[in-house]
Amino acid sequence: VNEALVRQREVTLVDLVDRLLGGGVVVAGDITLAVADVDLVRVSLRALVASVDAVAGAGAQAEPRQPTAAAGGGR
Amino acid sequence: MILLQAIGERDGELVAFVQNGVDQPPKPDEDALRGHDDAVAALMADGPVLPVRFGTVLKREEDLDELLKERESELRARLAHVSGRVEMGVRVTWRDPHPARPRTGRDFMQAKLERVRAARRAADALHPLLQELSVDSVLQLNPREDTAFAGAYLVEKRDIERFAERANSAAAVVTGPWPPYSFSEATVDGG
Repeated sequence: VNEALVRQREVTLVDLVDRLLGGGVVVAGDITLAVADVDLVRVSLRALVASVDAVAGAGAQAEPRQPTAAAGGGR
Repeated sequence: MILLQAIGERDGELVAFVQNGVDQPPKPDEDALRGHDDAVAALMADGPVLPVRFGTVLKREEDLDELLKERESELRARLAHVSGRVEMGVRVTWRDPHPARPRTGRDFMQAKLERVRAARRAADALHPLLQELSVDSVLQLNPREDTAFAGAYLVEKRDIERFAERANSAAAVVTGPWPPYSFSEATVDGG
């Protein structure tokens, strides 16, 4: 299996953020020194992702965006 | 302080993969996130691992043994569930990310409802096909404004390419293989 090949595709910041800050084993309690502002950072990273998406979308229409789901009829 | 990156099983033993002598919790910027992901992905090559939530820093190394002992059965069950498998990500984005601006509150609610229904239809069309090639999955409808649905699928290593082809043929964005981020904390149903 050529894992490297598959892995390079479209790994965007939002994919990383969703998984690394939203998934994984959670260790809580006295023994951890939690990163206090991860939730805040999560929000700001999402905002960053959104703004980067918007800029890229405006400037790079030639890039196909893989649209599949029709947004529903009637609008 | 030590940075806890992953928990794995090696030669039948539960082991923690850490970075020692860390001065402070890592700043969650893109480089650090990619670094964490690369480290965990590399560990996956040598045996099953569960990634630990990014930025988990322990005060003392002794606490690690206690943690592994305390949660041993739960961690072992999860490791067994992900062993030989990887996480694949699938996203389907809207063709039209910003539909016409609603004029009234009623239009707004109507549009929102229609989005939910359309996301459900999109998921119904693809999700079952991807479930056939996976052993577990987590599905989110409308996780972000531009995304109809996002799924995480736990896939046998031998099925990675078939899985990617099937999702690609539906023009979904496929990412992976990932360490099993989305299957490390949920209750293991033995599936």
